[in-house]
Amino acid sequence: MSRSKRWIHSSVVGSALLFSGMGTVSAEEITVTSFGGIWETAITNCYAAEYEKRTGHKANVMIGSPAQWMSQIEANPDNPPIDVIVSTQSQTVAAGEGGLISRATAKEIPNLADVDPLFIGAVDGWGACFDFGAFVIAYNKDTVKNPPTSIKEFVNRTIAGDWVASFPSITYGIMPDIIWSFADLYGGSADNVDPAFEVFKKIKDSGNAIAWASVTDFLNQMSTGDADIGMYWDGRAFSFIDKGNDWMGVVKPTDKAFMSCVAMNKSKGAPDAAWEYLNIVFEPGPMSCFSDYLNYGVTNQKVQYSEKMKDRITFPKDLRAPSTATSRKIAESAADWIERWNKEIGM
Amino acid sequence: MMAKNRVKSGGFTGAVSPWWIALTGLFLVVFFVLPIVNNLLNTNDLATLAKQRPMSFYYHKLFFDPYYIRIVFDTVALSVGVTVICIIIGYPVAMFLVRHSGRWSGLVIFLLIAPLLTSIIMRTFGWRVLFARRGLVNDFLLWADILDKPFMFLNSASSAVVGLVHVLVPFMVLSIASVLRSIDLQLEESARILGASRIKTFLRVTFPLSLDGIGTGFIIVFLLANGSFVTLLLLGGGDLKTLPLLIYQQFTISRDFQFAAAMSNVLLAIAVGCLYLQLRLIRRKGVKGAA
Amino acid sequence: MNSRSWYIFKENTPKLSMLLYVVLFFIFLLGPILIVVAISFTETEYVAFPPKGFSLRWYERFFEYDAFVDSFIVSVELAFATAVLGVGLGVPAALAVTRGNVPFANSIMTFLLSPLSMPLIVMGFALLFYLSALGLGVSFLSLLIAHTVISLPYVVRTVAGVYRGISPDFEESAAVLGANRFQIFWNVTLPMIKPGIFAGMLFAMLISIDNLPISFFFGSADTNTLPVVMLSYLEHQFDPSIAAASCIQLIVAVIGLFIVERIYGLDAMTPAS
Repeated sequence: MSRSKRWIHSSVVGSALLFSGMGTVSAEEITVTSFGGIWETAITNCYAAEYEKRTGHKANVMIGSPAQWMSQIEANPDNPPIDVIVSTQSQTVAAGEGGLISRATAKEIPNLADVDPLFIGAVDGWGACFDFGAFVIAYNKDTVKNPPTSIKEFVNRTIAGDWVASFPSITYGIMPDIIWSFADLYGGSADNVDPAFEVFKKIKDSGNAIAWASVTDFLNQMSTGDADIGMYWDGRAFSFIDKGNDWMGVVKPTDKAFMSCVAMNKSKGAPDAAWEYLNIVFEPGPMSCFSDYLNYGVTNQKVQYSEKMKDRITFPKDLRAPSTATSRKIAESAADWIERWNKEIGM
Repeated sequence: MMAKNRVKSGGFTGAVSPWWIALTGLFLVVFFVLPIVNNLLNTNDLATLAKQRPMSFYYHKLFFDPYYIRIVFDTVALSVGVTVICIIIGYPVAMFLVRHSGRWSGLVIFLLIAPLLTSIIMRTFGWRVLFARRGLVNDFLLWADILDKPFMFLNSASSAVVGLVHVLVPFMVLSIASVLRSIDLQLEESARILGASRIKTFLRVTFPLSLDGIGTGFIIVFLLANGSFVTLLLLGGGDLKTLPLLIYQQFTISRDFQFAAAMSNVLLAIAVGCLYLQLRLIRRKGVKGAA
Repeated sequence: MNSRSWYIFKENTPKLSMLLYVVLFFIFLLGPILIVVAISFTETEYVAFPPKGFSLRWYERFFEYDAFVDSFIVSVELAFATAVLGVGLGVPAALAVTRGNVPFANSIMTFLLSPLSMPLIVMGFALLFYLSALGLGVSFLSLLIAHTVISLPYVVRTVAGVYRGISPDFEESAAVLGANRFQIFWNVTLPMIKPGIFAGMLFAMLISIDNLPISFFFGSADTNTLPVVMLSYLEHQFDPSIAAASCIQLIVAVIGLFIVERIYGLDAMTPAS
């Protein structure tokens, strides 16, 4: 066989043997999770970097969605591929009761002592929410001259055809909670989501709505003009505007926007190094850093907000948030609601 | 002499011991057969917040709930549809490759294989941009006056079908081409000399002889389309749902693993059914060995 | 004979319509890929086609973003390892089934090729739970096993195809001259089936590198492959860096193919063998 062929063959075998030994992670390296887009930048720069500075070990940041992470942990309970999981209220309760995460109190995470008790209660004692945001209305100032002031007005005018609106698609992880919030707004509850489905059916049938599959998708749709207005997270919208997109405007609806708070927890089989990371997450300094990136409210009471921030953040008393019992019901019903959505609405 | 022809029986067989298959066979049994059996019997202890239901509940749903019947049907229909389109679109290209490309055959093969080197995400991404509300496809259709308002391709089945055809047609072309290549040109020549027209020669001589290639291509493309979920995930929109997509969504959104297991077993059954058909058909033709 | 050679010439000149059709076909086939290449150079934050401006920022982004780079390395390592393991398991099996007096040879061959027919998402899902139950969990080893299972048929098919076409006389002569089985394999069989092995390895690597349905289930910080990270990114972020990542992957694959072309010629890749 010619020399070049022999050389290639042996180098292939050689490298295969060499490489197969690589790709292992040291014990104190942890895998933490994050939502996509600017969230990931914030987590990487405010929390993961801080963890690495203090412990000398890396915190690998993975993006995805909580349900997917929960599935991955569930499939490997003894040696989970994910050490710190980010999840919404209902998902946190589900993860806790499903045995996927460890109980967290001020004992394991000292900084929890300074967290507003409201946010500890929101997740039934499974750690606490570390940030919260409102699901408000974002619009294009150039094409929408007369923006709506409430969610109901927004919905009615979408059906009437004033604009093209963008709503989250059912594949968006927080959609079950959003469905609840619509049910709550229109007179239903976690036990009766029919009002929400009726409203969304009308929206879908009007033909004036498109769906955003991911948080960045919405921004793309607004940028290219595919959508003129939509429901979106206040923090992310403000961050987008700050980047130089002052054509976007934000409306804080008068009829109580949905509040989502996000918790972070250690998965049960994960190493104790994760507690160190979680402690950083709830510390005032890194929390401020996170808040600056994302314009979200954070839950450590020692954090001081600037005037600009105080203006932007909507505080829980003006928002619609599920109680713990409701969160549990949402978690139990999520799969059924998703199936019902697929059958009746399909957006 | 084509490599496909069997070596005449009675050839020397002492060079290889039948035991050489043992390790590989064991590997496949342990890591291929057993996982599938494990999934079939659903012996996993899957604790989710969703209520633990017996598997029969899920199978009942899949076979009796109209929504799911529709999905199972769509899964098969999509695969068949895509395969048929690939045959229609790919056959002329295969003809061209074998009969008319001459010096350029190397280039043609390269151009066929090049897309297979790209990530499926890359190809699907490209289609997503093309089919967007303000994408090139809509722009063209508006310009040509075929539409007066942009059509939401991404919400309909059409974009998924196009995406799948795009990914799978090279397989079809290569399958057909490899069989076409082995057809003796003299047969066609004889037909022409005896007075048959071009079209008649094709229909009565060439096409039947190439059925083998179409059959192989059909199986490959059907099975690949059957199991694909990435294309549907990124291009399918709301209207078209298939079993692989639902399995993915169960894992990433709804988290009902039992349901996912039931769906995967149905999908498996479809694939095995197709494989069985393939074995029956090919055995009848007398062509044995590797597909 | 003049009339005959003219006849063949006439048959072989492509009709204009067929040529046009083929050109359109390749525009269809290659168009979306070229579009993605174009998008990768856009200056804008969001995905724009036609691209606005020209910038390499998304390529820079690829190299800055740890997940892309790490997963690319994992993908390449995994592809090599899969090819090696696939060949190690596939070659003996292919030889044995073809000419080793294995009982029920046809059925066994069908069995060896059956992973080809399995829906990959089912394999991924089943293997995840099975390997976790075995204690292997989410690890490089699990990924390797899973990828080998699905690449094995390609190796078996190409090696068996080549082996079948080689006359057994060579091996017989060697046996007559007193060589034992191992010597026959190493000195006679192996050199002759090398093209099949090489083609099989190539297929195995290609299958592994672009695999998504199986790799998805085994995702974690150190076992994420590039397609998995790209899908996650696409679902949760969707910016032009995916276009850049795709292009980089394409470049690496094209380089690989070029090397193959140089050494073995592209015919080794078509299923004709």
